[in-house]
Amino acid sequence: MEIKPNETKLISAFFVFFLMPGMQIGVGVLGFERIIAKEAGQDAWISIIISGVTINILVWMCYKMLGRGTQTLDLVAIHHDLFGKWAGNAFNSLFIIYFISITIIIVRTYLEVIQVWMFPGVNILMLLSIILILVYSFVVGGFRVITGLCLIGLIITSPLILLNYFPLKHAHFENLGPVLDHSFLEIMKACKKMTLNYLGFELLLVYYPFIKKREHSQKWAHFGVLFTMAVYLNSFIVSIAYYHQDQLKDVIWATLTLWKIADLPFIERFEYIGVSLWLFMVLPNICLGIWAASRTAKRAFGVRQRKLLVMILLVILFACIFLDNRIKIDLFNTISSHIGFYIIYVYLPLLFLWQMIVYKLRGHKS
Amino acid sequence: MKFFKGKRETDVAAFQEAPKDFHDLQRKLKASHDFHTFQFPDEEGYTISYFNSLVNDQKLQEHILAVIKNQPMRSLQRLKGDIPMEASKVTSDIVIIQRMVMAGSVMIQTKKADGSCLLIPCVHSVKRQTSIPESEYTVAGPKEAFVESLDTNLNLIRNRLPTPELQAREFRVGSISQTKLVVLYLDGIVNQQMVETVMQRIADIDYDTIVDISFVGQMITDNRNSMFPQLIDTERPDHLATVLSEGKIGIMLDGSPHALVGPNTIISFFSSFEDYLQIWNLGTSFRLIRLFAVLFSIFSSSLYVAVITYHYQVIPTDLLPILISSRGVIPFPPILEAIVLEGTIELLREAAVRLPAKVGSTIGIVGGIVIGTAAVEAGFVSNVLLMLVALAALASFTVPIYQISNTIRLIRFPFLLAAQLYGLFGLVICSAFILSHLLKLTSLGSPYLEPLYPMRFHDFKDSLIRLPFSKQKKRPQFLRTEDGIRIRKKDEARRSQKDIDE
Amino acid sequence: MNVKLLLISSCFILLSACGVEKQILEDILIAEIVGYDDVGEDKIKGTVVVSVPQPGEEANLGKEVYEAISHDINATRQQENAKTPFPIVGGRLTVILYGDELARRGLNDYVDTYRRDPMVGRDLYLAIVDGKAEDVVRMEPKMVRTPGVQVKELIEQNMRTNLTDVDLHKYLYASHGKGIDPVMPLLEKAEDQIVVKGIALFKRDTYIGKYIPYEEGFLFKILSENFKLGSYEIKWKENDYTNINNVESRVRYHITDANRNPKARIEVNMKANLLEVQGYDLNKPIDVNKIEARAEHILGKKMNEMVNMFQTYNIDPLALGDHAKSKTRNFNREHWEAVYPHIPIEVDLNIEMIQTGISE
Repeated sequence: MEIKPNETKLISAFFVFFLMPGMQIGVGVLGFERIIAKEAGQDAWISIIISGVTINILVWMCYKMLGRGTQTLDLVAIHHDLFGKWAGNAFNSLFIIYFISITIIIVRTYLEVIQVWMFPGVNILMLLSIILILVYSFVVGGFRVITGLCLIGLIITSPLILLNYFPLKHAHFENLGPVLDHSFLEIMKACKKMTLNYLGFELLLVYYPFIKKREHSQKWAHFGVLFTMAVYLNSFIVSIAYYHQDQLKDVIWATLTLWKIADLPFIERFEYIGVSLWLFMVLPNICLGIWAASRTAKRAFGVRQRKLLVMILLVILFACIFLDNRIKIDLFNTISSHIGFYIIYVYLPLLFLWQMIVYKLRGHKS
Repeated sequence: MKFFKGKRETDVAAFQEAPKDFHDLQRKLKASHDFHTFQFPDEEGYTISYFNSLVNDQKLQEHILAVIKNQPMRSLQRLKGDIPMEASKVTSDIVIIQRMVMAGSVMIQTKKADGSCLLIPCVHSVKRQTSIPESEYTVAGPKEAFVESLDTNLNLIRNRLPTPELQAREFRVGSISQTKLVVLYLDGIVNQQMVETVMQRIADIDYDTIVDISFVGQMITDNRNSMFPQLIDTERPDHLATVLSEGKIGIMLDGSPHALVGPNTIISFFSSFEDYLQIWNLGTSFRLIRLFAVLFSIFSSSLYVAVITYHYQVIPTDLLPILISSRGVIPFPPILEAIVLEGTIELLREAAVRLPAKVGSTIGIVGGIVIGTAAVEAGFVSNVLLMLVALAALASFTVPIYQISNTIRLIRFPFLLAAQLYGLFGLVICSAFILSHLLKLTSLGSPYLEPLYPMRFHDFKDSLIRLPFSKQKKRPQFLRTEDGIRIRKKDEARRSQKDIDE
Repeated sequence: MNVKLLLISSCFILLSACGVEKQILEDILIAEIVGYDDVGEDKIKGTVVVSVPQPGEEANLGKEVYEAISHDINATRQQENAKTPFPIVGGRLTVILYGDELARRGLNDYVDTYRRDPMVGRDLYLAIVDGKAEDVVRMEPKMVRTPGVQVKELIEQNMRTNLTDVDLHKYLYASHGKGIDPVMPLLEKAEDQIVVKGIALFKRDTYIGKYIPYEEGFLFKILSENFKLGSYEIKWKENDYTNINNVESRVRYHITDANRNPKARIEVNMKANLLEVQGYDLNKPIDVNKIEARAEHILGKKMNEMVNMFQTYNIDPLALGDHAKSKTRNFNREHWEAVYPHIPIEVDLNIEMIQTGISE
């Protein structure tokens, strides 16, 4: 049942550090500030930390689950192990659909950013095809290539952090006060909204067999999530200091709008460069999502991954064309973020408990 | 697939099939007018035959004919002992006879027609003196370059690495040319698996005439369609010797004044050998300047097109008037302007390479001054772009390895098109495509983007930066060497810990 | 591999046919400065200056002025386009001017489009013109190449000494945020020059018709932000004046009991040097302490007057409401807004003379 990838296709444990933010930080970071600030105002940074911590707990659970059996090295194996082939595959299909749908959100949202910020009249079909061909050329390279993309994407986009220097000149850090002025409920609501931005760590369940010295990778996974948290925290604090809270409520893409004031002697208006370069942050998301979907499908149903890849790309193409206005996108977004929320906060812990119980029982039997 | 391969092999055999017998061979050889056959010393003596064009006349007369004349007739075996020439052979194997005669041996037969003959190598080969390296010229450092003779080249290497571990495996490549090829490596350092890969690939070479090492290079690289070279072509024996001791593999071909070196990472194509001849901090700075120059060279004209076509917003206020007024009178869209200008530069380069050196410099003047000024004055191109393109061309000349500079020349054009399509976003898409290609690329099986990915911190010591020799304690990890340690002596304990005035 | 290459190349060819809307630099007119005036009947008049390339080797830009009258800003843009050979684009606008009559009607409707348009930067300046914005827009630039740049540099230059930081972002920050009111530079056309007249005061997005005169701008700047330049002239004896030069000033707001009986204290610490002292006795070194005390007294009084004036008009350009909110739990905004005009606000100014120039 267990499929061990070829030795040459493995990645070192260290790269899990890059895979975590590679899937978590994407197009959301450009505009998440407004959404959480609506719920918890200046206290939303607490929500970022709380949800970051819970995600770390979930990562710990994933590692526990993966390390428990001798051959349950990935999600499909766990499902088959616990529920048998048919029921297991039903859950696998759920995950496949979920992976595809978060990928669709990412692609569609990034296309919207391009449409709004750079080319209002762009032919979506053409742009989409180009991006999907690009994704294809990465994904056929296999997991190693995608990991490389995560790493290099992070390296290329990390200078954009320096752009935060410019808003700091106009910053009002007193906007962060008074601390804890919002009720627990409000902060929790913001936590729920924040979850969508942390989605992607659960891909660990799929790529775990690809890690060399798997046991050593756990700390890197936790560091990766903490890194993601630091990035979100940084963006949020800079935004709340730069914008007035009442103003932030109308700014859809707070981080992007913030780049507008970057002003160097040889180039102005950094958002154009930022939006373009952000492709390197979004591509790992898309590639990992599609790779995970196709890999899970391959493991579950034993179809060639190359074929599945083409099929999934076509599904994404049609879905993105279908989602052609704000209302549909928002609806789809809400639905999939709900699915995501329940999958990671309800399904994963339940799966964890169920596996624990089953293994206890089995242990007693033998 | 296998079916076809099998068929092709039989075809090859058909061509190479040895003449049926000795007469057949003689008939074939005699068809050439430079094949001489005569009886010596008299009608009853030996039959001596050779290619006049391959044999050294002086040697023939002094060492062979003189000996034969002064002695009575003997058997070939005895005669072989009398003539003081190495590697002579008595044989009746037609294949060997043919090969040796074609390689410049003198064939001596007796009247007894038993088919056996004595073959004495007596080659007359035209050799060039070693000269100054041209494409990899450095100001400091040795001024020797490889020549066309394999023996000379091996001599240059052996002189630099006087160790029995330096092993040279010989191959013959090319079904017609039968060119001698040598794989060089340092046993005990090099990764044996890599050597086997190389040898396997060389054994698989199937082509009729191989005249230069670049043929071999194209046939044994990992991705044969990639614009990015995966093997370095060097003409410096010192360069080859250095990388051999790092654990790389060198390949040399008779008749080619270059050696192939592999495996390489993309960074090694931008590091000049001169970086090692300077103090490390200077070497590092120049290496970084070179990398920056390459990036500039690739992106400058396409950035111009992207910004002028789509993103006027990013131009700083003070630059705006300059750009607007320089573009104002140009009748073409920016993309056409850029392609015309880049095309012109490529034309000039190509012309300058093809023409003899003396005329070549005239081309530079004509191109640079006359065409450039005229084009700007006629309002065909803007002076800003002219400046950018000229700078980009200049920047691309800083690349030390000739092959990758061609890649950089060409890779600009997809970027130009992408910039025309989607502006800055197009540039990023195009870069992503290239990244996807580079991530998949390997050089003799080791990843091309190392040490960036897979990340090996140790290898950063000699990649983008070059740290001093004392820090280079280990050989590069991507070579997976059998012996990874370079400096065995322990650090002289805390030399730098001395206090002031001690 | 080959199929992929073919696919990619064919895509490129297809795409070059149906690409994106281009904005080639010379085929657009880049608006530099735009002015809006009220022309009655709910209509506005937009006047825009675009730079036009002049043929020739020199980097000369001519200018061209277009105007249009309509109800909203986008419609005026549209009408202006009807008169131009190329589309006018606003991506590099440097200054937007509003006539004072329009500003009195409220600016939200006329700023909104610049807030939404992703093409527009955030480093452009908004200013009010005492009179017609059109007059300033139509001014022939001196020294500097184009009128847009001229007004921009005029504002930027003065922002270091007498104007507070006033770009589009600051305006949006203040007009959208509660507990804070925006200010804008007030320009005026005097003869053939553009002059900064002072700082125009707003309630929300509406110009209240009052302004802080240019010289007092320094005091307002001291009250509202930390900065390091500027100077102010005080009278220290009969007919004798001294000019104190700000080296570094820091301001802190202390607001207590914001939900019931708010009290505000504005603490200003200023390090200054003397650049000009009139009528001192050559034989005695000048008494720095005396000047300090005098300056504190005079400036403090002026500042107190200024703050009281803000309260009288119920405006809050110093963002006291915002500061109160960030210091108070469960901040009661209605209460604050109700009591704001009457709360005691004390300005506590400390001046420290750290230098007297290169002469004692």
